[in-house]
Amino acid sequence: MSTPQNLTKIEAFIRQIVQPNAEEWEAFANIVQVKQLRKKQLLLEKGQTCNFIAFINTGVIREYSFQNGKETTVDFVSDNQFITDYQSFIMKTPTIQYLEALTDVDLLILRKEGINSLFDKYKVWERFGRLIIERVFCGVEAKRKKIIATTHEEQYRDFAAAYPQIVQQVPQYYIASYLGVTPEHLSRIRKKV
Amino acid sequence: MYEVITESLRTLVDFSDEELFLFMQKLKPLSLKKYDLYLKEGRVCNNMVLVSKGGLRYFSKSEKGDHTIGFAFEGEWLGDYESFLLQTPSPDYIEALEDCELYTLSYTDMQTLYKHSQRFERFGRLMAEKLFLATARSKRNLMLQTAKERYIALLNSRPHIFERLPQHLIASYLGIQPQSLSRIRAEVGKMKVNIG
Repeated sequence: MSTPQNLTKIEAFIRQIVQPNAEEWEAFANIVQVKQLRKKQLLLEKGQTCNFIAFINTGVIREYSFQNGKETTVDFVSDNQFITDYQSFIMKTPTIQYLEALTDVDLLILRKEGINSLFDKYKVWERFGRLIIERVFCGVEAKRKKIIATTHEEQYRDFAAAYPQIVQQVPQYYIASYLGVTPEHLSRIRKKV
Repeated sequence: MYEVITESLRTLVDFSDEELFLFMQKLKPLSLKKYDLYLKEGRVCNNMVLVSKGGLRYFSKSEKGDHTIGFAFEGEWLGDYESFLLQTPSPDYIEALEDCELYTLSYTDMQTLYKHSQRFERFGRLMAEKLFLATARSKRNLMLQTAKERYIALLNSRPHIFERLPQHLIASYLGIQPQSLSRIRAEVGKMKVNIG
């Protein structure tokens, strides 16, 4: 069975990672649903439980949430990428994310029941699922490590604001030790701040 | 120890006895002395480690001072999973907090297990999902929680840590100074007395 045109991008993406045979591919194609979003439409909003993973054929979607009462853009996702709220999807809990179409968007939707039936029946799809979530993990882990690096800057900022006379009078290596960073790192922070 | 491992594996996936036996065969024993480094900056984390006896600390040192990222005690796994998955050098360190008896599972052996059966693939997926949820939660908490909230969360989720670790390491893990930790402990201690 030849691939319908709207599945060619997702098939190319998948075949870089796993190699399903004809039967396995057909089982996958059978669970795919097609969806269109108009500009400004929401794919997902706060309070819903995310029960799908989507693949963008064309268009751009903005991920945002409210943190400390402020609207914060988390990411932009476009052609040839998967998009979902993995936490809500895995844990079956309500999402805090909004997924908003910034343009008209052509999407493929994989619903949770369909995905689970592929996981149950086919080793190749279980493997694909594993490799995808491993990538997602690595992405978040890198961001988390970066935040830890940034926290020290904030600590220095707070300290310098509260004790400006100490910052001027006390040798750097004492301040570094107090903040729990190396003197070299403190120099870098001071240059940035 | 084998029962602890097989039980923890079986809660995730319905492994057959043959599969569990295969998994156990891949675990290699390793002993470390207190302060020995299991992983250091620049090395690829080729093996995930399971603690049979003792404790390990995961920290970063390069340009960040000494920042504690995590710990593992009996029955817990540890490793730089990103380095393990991508087979790239880790920026971080893992050291023994005390003399340890460990088991290691290599990246190559994990790939062999994945090829062997679908249940191992599912195990790998569920482990990665667990680690993803933990790191996503940790990332969000770092941005949103106060140090006192992180302390209380730690007290609730892993109370045994407070017996096993010196104060300055707990403070480092919470991203605060030891003096701040003492203050928070006193405040929380008072809270409990008022409630109880």
